[in-house]
Amino acid sequence: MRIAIADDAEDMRQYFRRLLPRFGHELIGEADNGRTLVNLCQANPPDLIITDINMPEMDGLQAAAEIGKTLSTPIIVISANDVPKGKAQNHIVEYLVKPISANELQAAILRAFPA
Amino acid sequence: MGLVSRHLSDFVRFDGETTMRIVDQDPSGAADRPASRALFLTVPDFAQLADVLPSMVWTCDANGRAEYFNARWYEVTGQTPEEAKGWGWSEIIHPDDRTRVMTAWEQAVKLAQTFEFEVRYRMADGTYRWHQARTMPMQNNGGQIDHWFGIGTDIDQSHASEEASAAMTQAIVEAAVDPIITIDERGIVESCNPATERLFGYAAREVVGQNVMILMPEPYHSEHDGYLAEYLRTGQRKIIGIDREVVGRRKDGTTFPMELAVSEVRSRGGRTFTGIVRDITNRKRLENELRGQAKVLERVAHGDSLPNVLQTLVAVAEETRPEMLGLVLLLDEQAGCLQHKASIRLPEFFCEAIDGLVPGPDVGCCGTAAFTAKRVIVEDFRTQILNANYREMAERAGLRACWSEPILSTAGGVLGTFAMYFRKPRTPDENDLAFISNSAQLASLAIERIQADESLRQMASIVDSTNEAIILESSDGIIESWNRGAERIYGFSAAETIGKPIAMLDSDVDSDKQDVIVERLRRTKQIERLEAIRLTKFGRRIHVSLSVSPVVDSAGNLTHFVTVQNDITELKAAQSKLIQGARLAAIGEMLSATAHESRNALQRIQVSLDLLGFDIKEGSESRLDLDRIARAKNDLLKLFEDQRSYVAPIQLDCSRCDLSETWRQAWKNLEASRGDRQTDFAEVTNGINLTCNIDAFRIEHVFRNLFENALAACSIPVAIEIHCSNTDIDGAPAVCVSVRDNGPGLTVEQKERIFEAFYTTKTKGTGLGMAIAQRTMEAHRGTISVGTSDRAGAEFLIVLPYSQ
Repeated sequence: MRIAIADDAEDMRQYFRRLLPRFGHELIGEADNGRTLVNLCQANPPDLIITDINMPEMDGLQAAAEIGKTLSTPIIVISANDVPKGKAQNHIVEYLVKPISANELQAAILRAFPA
Repeated sequence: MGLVSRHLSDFVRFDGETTMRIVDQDPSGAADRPASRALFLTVPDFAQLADVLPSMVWTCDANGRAEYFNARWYEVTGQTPEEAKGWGWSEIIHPDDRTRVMTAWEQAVKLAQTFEFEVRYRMADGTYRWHQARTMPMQNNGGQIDHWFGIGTDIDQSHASEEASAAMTQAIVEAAVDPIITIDERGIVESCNPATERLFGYAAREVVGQNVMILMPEPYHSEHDGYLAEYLRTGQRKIIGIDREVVGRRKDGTTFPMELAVSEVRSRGGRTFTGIVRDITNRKRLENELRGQAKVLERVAHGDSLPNVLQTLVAVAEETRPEMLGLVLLLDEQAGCLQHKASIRLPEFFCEAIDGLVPGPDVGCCGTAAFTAKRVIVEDFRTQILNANYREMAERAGLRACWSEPILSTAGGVLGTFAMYFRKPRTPDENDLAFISNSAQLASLAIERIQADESLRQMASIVDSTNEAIILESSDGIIESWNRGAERIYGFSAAETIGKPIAMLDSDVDSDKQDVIVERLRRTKQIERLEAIRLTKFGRRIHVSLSVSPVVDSAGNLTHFVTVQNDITELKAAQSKLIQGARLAAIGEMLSATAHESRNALQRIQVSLDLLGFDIKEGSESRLDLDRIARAKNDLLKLFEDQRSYVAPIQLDCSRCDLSETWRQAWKNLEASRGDRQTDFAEVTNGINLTCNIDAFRIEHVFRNLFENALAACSIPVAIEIHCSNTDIDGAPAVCVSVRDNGPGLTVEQKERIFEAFYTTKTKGTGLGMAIAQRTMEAHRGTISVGTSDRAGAEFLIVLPYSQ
């Protein structure tokens, strides 16, 4: 699965870099803010987007909204914030609250693409 | 008579069958010979005998002419035989007695009867002396009276003393304050004294010779003759020697009550009755007044209302004094005017006009009396200067006089007025003044007593109806009074506490503080306000706020304490909840502020754990270290999330669920932590409906918490028992699930504090589990509490309403 990720913490980006291939996924793009994520996805649309919320320039939710205008790529949001109230929008399929483990992440990815 | 007989019998034998014959010395010797048993005396013998007698003796011929006098006669009268014989003896009779005696003597001679009389004879010195005399007829052989034999004895001395005593009696009778009346057997008045004249209004001459019944009203007037005749016939005393209350009638026809004492004197002339009369008008009136006062007091004692009591006061006053019209006005202090409270015979318009009168220096009788606090007497409205308005009104009401007495309180304040009105001008006498003053005093007593009663009743109803405990204890701490509020707060009835020491309510918490407070109260005698923890009948500790007032007697000694107590347990709980709430809010804010970074930090640990996990071989020593780090991270995460869920507002996601499924799920989820410990999980559902509208996830957590605690507290084998029953929450049907373990149970402290946040007995744990459980239950409008049964182990009761 071709996945694009966005997180302003290098630790997390490194995590995804090392983790995703282990589960058989391809990391096709990394961003440290929402704006970069939007550009990246528009240039090369992934199968799945995993994004943090709190980021400089443009946060994850704004980016998701922007991406949603042109793409229908499913998005998994990982955040240290509580799960927001109301229905998920802009193709957000999962909302995960930190800390999440590798297994939990893989399970969420698999849920986004049911067989 | 006796005197004569005695003297004569000294010299002459005399019996019933013989007649004494005085035998004249017959010069021819042809004297009559008497019958065999007769005593014969010759004249010289008789004369010899008679001359030594101290009495005067004489004989007369059949026609009453004197023939013989003994020497004593001549000696005391100074008469010569010539002067005395024939009718000469009558010359020395006192002129006042002569006609009476001579008439009677002629009569006696004519009828041949023994003649007895009292008479004054003139003595030789010219003075008159009383004598008692008796003449008896003497018969000859043929049974004809041929002589009279007479004897006279000087009784002047005894007569004089009789006269003196009669005079003294007369003087007493004349001077007597009480009327004294004598009547004869026919009821005719023989005499009456000046007191009789004064009382009955008759002159003595108008009464003497009249039937005494003129002094009596009907029915005595008509019946008196009958009474007298009846007594004379039967001798049965109905009045003689017995004091009786009867009614007298004056000349003017008015009547009055009197006491009558009658005595009887028998004399030669028949019987005389003496009546002593006492006018008891005043006594009767006083009696009536006292009776009236007693009636009023009785009303007061029976707790009658003030208007009723005052109305009774007027009624009895008018009863005892029919000529007066009573009125009671009371001062309304707030309105500053007099209000009509009681009257019976006064015209209604008059009472209405007087109602609302504002006291002043010249505002009618009552208004002035109330203003000056002094008695006001108006003897005649027409002549006495009085505010024209009131004079006119009194005139219209047909009133001429008014006496008004202020009703004064014990402290001397004016409570109102008691007034007596009259239709004729009237001046009060001593009795009247005493009466009006007594009546006002009685009114004052009634008013003050009823007001005191009323305030007592009000006080009692306040004490009884208040939710506060009001407890009276003696100075040595014995409970003397216990109100309903106290029953409600403490659960003890009055019967269970009165007579017992107040210390029975002390809890173990601050009983030593009590002594200090009591000591201070004794010293300062000031009201103390404090808070304390006390024990109820059921052993529950309650917080009470107390206000303790010392009760001091007139001598300044402390006799009692009155404590007013409020159960402030709930208030305290609410207070501590508020404080807790504020603290929690602060924690909540802090946790929210740090949540993001905490989670990110945890996430970084997680990331590192995951990545290291890829590289470190399973089963290696390093792998074990990694697992320990993972567990520490989990603990930290749990603490963090517990805290957050405790402080965050609870939002329930409810659906209808079977409670048993939630506890079974909770038990199942603990499988891993139970490991291979021997456990026994029993359910007794009693067929009770367990379907409730609940947030199953959260309720499951409540059970999980209880089970975790049980597993932590109990040694092997752990036995958990669930027992269901029906109950209610404030009347709404509910289900109660009891969860009991076989552990050591809870201490008193644990029971009280187990639901406090951050309270824990475990070495491990956040101390929030039970607090969260309680919040969860409260969010469901249910409860969780510690069981109160005596059985071993810890028991928790979860109560949930069927519908929220």
